Amino acid sequence: MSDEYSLQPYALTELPEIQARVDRLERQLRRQRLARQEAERISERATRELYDKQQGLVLLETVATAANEATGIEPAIATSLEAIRAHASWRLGHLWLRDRADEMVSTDVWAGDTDRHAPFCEASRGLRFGPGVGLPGRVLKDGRAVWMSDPAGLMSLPRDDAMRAAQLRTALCFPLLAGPDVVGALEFFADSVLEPDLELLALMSQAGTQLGRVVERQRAAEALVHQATHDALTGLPNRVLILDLLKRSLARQSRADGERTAVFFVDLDGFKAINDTLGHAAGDRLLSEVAARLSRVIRCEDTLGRLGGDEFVIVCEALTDEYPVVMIADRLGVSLREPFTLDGEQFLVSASIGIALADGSEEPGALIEQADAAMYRSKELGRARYEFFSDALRERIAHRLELESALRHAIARGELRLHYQPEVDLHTGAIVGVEALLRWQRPEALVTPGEFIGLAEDTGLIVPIGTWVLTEALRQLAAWENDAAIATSPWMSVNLSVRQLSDPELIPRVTAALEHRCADPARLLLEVTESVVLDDAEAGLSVLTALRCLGTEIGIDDFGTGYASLSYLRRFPASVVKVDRSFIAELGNDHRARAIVEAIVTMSRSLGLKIVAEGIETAQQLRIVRELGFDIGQGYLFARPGSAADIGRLLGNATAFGSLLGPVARDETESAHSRAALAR
Amino acid sequence: MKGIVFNLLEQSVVADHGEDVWEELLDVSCLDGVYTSLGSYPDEDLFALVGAAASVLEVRSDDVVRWFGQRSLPLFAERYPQLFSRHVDARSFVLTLNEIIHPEVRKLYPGAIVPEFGFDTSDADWLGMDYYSPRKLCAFAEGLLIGAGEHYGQTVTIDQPQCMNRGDRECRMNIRFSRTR
Repeated sequence: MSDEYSLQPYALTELPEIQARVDRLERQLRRQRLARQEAERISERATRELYDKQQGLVLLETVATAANEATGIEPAIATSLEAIRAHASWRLGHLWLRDRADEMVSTDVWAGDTDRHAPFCEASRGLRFGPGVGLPGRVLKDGRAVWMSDPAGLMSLPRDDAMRAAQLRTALCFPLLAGPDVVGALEFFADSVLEPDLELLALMSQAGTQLGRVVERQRAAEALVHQATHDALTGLPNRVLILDLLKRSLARQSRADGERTAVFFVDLDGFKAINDTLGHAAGDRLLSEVAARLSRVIRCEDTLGRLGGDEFVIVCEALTDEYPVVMIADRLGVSLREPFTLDGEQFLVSASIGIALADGSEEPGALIEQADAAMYRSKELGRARYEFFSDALRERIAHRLELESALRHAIARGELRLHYQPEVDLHTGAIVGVEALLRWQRPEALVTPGEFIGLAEDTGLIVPIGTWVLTEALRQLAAWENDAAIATSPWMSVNLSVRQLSDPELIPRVTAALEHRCADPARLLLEVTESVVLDDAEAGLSVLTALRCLGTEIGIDDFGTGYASLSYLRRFPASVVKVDRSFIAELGNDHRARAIVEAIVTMSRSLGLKIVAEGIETAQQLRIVRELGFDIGQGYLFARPGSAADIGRLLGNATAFGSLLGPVARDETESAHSRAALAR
Repeated sequence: MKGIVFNLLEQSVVADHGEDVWEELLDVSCLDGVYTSLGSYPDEDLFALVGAAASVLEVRSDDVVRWFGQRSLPLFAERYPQLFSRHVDARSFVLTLNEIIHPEVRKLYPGAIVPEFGFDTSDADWLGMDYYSPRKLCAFAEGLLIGAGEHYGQTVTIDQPQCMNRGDRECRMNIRFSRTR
């Protein structure tokens, strides 16, 4: 049957059926074709997604590599900026960084065809946007990417004219994030209208985090460098940075003919007093205010730095004449003229300024030392002024160096001597004590204490010298005690400097010196100035207390010149107060001096302290100090300091100066009382 | 040559001349006709099909290629509408060839050889376009340009002062687009 059919042509009746079969086959073919196309589409979509993902990974890898290898913010981001721009086929890419003022600042880091878009780049130069302003400002405010395109979106932007002129029609800006903080932003521009691309935005968010870390890391590194080169209190460059700046400036000066570098050394006058009186916090506020005032009067090309304490330095570079130096020096002085208000009170602060001009051969450190030396000269000449480092000053420094060298050998060469000045009981006229005073007899001349005591303090030579003084004074005391011609030997006053008090060996040295001469500690009066307790009250007081425990007497020298309040007296383990000679000198002329001295006397009496008037030179001064109730006097009126032999002769006379005292004196009871108080 | 080109050619021939003509072209070229957009096939296959069409339809080969380009464009638009919807005229669409369209092509077909275009946009009235491809299918580009014009309702006039097929190093087309309708 089938064979029959197969051999026969189609019957006409079968045609519709065949047609239906053809139609069906065509429909099947169409379906197959559509199915194939659908399969192709699915496959294409998967291929495209895979490709995009891979490209995204490649991009992130590029960004990560740049981030890890870069040595600075801008190089790291420049590489990534171009990679991102190329990835997304944008025309231009640009970096913005957030600054300390929390504004977005335009950088010079661009990617893309900057030649073609030069006017737009130029329009972006130097721009800074606060939160909410412009693309970067919006990103800063919201911490999110902003995508804008023509025409409506871009109209409101600060640079919209420049964008239109550059035919840029879509802008994308996304944040560089360090944690939640926006540390910068990247902006990109395209010249066609593009719809927001979510995949791209997701990618940018990852890149933004990577690059944000770069910024953060770099900022941390910069902060470390800043810390190491700047003063924490004022934010000014510190010694390290100033020296570096000077080094470069001096190197430049040696190349540029006719240009000079000047260094100002500015030291405040009386800063210590304010710091001591109001405390360190107020002192710090004062220093900050001074730094602000000084920085306002220097030129913008000058550099102000702080070396520490109340020492400031100003470096002026590339000077062609000295006029700006004088102008700046004058303005610095004027800037401090207005009083400073601290804790509601007003204070006047001046500065002593030293100026050194480089001649091209100096080391940076030496130049600062010269300015420092000139500053010291200003202080010597009365403070609140400026001095140039000069040849004369150079000679003074050379002299000082020579003196220092000689002083080091003075003890060994036997050049030091002690002179003694009597301390006289104002009731009996008897010499009750002598003050040991140091003299330096060099082969060529006698050097005055004013010339070398400061030097000895500065160099630390005061410690061995002080030990020698103590030993020699106790030797002399023992000699007088054994002198049959001297009925009652005096006590011995010996000055101790601040430097000696901070010598950890002081107590053993004093103990050893006393034991060596079998001296009665009560015959030794150690005199210190008020400043001893001002520098470091607790440490100073504890050393004095230890000395007192050895049995020695403690006296306060030059009282009234420092800044100790009377209340300090209470804590001082002292038995004697010596009122400074400047008050005694003024007693006859200045009723205020008298009032101050009266207060000191009253206070001292109430504390059971013996009170000594220094520097009595006239009969009138003697009369007044006796009226005020001083116990003991010292001064040229009685005797100038003299050698042990000279003073020994005076000591043989029990009432050596009785004739000077006249009828007011001779109160033996009072005198006995005062001696007992001292021996306590 | 990417399979999509063969698919588009088949679609164009079938649409304008019927299934039988496509079968005939395959027969004449001795090709089995199995092409999928996911694959790549010898360039010679395409040139053979173009040659067969020229002889069967009795037209010149470059006219076949131009016609093919023109007919392909709406088929592209159907497959990739997002590439077209961003533009309001043919000029701006054409200008995205290098930066958007060809990168998209490369996404789908890694290693695809696409022609290089250079644009001269110095004049707003006409667009200068340099074409370079070892396949020298400038006529296909021409057809696509005409098709693009039709897509945006524009008439396109092309003057080709240089052509690789005439021995020039690259082809140069100066294109004028009429206003959009």
